[in-house]
Amino acid sequence: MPRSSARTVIPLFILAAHAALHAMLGIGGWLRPFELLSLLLLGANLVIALCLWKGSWDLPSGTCTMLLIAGHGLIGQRLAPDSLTSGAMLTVNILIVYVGVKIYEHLSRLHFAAFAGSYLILFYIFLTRMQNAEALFLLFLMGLAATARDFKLLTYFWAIVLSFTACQPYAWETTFSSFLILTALFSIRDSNWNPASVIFLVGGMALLLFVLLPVIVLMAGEDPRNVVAMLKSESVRDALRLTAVTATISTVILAAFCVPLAYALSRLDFKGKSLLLALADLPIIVPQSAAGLAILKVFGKQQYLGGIIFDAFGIRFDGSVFGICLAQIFVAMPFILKGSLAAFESVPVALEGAARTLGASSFSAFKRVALPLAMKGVVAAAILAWARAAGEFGAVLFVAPYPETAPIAVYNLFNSVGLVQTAPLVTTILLFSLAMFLALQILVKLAPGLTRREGSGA
Amino acid sequence: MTPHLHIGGVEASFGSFKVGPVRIETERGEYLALLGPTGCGKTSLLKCIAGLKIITAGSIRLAGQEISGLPPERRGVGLVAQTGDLFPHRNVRENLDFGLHYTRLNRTTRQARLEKHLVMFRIAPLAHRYPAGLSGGETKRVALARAMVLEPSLLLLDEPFGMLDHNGRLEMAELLRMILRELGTTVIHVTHDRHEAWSLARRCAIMNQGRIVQCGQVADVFRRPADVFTAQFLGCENVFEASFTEQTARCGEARFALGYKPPFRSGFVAIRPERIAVAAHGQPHLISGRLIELQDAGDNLKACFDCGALKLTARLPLELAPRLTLNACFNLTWLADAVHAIKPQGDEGANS
Repeated sequence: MPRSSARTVIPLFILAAHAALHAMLGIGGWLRPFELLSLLLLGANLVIALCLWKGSWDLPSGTCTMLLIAGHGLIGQRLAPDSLTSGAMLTVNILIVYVGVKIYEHLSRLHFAAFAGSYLILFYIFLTRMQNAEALFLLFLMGLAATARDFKLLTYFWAIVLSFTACQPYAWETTFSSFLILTALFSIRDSNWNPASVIFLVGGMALLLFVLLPVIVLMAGEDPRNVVAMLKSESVRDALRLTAVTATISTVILAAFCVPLAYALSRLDFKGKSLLLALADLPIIVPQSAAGLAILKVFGKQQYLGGIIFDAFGIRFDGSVFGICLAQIFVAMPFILKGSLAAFESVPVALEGAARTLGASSFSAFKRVALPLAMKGVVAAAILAWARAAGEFGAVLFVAPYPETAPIAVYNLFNSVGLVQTAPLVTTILLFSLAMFLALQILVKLAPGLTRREGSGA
Repeated sequence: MTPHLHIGGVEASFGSFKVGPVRIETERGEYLALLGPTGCGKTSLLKCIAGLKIITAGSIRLAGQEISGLPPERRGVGLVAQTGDLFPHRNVRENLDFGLHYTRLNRTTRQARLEKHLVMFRIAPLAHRYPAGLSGGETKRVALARAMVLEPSLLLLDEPFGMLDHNGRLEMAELLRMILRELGTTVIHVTHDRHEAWSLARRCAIMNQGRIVQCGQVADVFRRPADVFTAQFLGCENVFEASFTEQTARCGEARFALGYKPPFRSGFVAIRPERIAVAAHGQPHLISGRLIELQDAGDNLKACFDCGALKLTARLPLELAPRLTLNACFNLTWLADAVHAIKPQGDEGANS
């Protein structure tokens, strides 16, 4: 049969078959003449006939659709709760058939198998787990039709489906986290990867999740109203403010001394340098309580050096903001020093040499070449140091338990009222720290001059 | 007339590697090629002149002023490193402006100077690009412009043609000639490639193991290498031990005329391979040998002849190819000035 005549004959045939079917159903008493379902069927048939006639659809899809319509007509009449749902199902199923035919024609067999398999599994899930959730099922089917052309999209689609069917009532959380993981996995797949590193990644992530679980559970489980109440409390706000201010002061002091020191260490080579670097790690090795005691022993008001400073400047360290800063500086120092050192070491010395031959003094070469190029790493190190300073508990507890910083406040509250009542405060502090940390990171990303740096020259 | 740049007895040490003592003098506006194999101390010597390395002995005088005690920023010496060393956080324009910042020129002069050099070095279209996005040739041009925008009286170039393709080299050579012609800058051009040096410099210095082994007019150094290393480094493949009597050199059985009387009894002879010719049958010849190897080197034929005790390598014109059959015997000849007598190794006396 020539193609052109087929285009005319088949639509006419469809319409004729439709009319005949209706007549038969009508005569049999299964269908009333102007029922909604009947009108829907007629509309669908008209659309298909038109499509076939215009040549934008073809024989297999037309045939499938006809069968589908016939089947649905019968099912709708006998099973479906109401004709509206039945009509919607029909429409979506026509979409599915259309997409299926297109996938079969244009994409690989694997795509088609994935599509058909997905449909069957969805249908199975619908039958077994989604009673009276036709609307959701139809939504899923539309999603399937939209995503089936691409395996990546299909995977995301299934992550949603499984989250919303198997993981209730944590559907949104599951969707969010599975999207994160899938995105990571897909970007790994698109980059250079090898089995060893992927296995190591999965293993490492497992431990990381296990460790971070308490924090996540605590934050997810807390009622936001409690957090708001906490933030309104004067004492909590004082503690948070004190923590932020002391950590910032400590970081500024650290940056003023340790960044130039890191530059010096990266450019100089001298005997005893490795010893100095090892000593710089001391605050990491020493238990914080011991560090606190040591600070108290030297800088306490009754002690020798602390006494001299108190007499000369009227500054006392024990039980004061200065003491808090001192303890924070002590514990945060290795982070900013080592981070900045790595940053400066990544800046080629030759660039400073070039700057010198162009007329820059060594100070100017530091300011205009080494520091801007290392700035990204230096700022990252400073943020880390800030976070370390803000979170310091042990050393601060010994040197200056009052005024209360946030970590001390948690400890004191826990001692007086116990675990359950402390949880909102802990959540508040966690959220506060996280917010500050993220804010600093974003600030650095947005700051001009820091992001402009590209990799090595051509 | 005192030389513009005078380097006298300069010594420096880099760990176990020693440079010097080095002595070089150049006139104002002179283009000197500093030739030597990789690792001979060329780059180190440049760093000493620029002030990036401290010298342990000797003096460096630029325009009559002793500069060896000055920090690099006060020497007024331009240095273009092999990789360009552009500042990755500054675009091309800002790279050029870096040094102008220190010149205390007023704003308009500075702008004018910058624009002039952007155009002169053909980098105006790149002005707002960052170094990471530049090609090798562009990087080199920007680095050169960045040094020249300060108008130094001495420019040090470390392998300016390194990592450039053929077109990049031509372009760079043109820029360097312009610097030489229009700006009158004294240039020291460090390279390991003799053809590169020949194309630009009139004078050259040969460096080996931290020392200058020969310094002179390019043609002189090429025709009359001072030692075996220089001869071989400049592409002379025929260097043989020889003894000299009057104007004759004697290597084993073979004897050749030298055209002059060397001031030593024994040493080496160097025979330029491109001066060796195949003599027609029956014509007078100096030596005969069996062709043992033939290789088409593109613009010449590299032919190795087994002449008894000597293995001679000749660079022959391509037209000879049909006549050359392996294992056949050929008569070889050359003019007396193709042969140069070299003093024995370890004898420091005969260098002019």
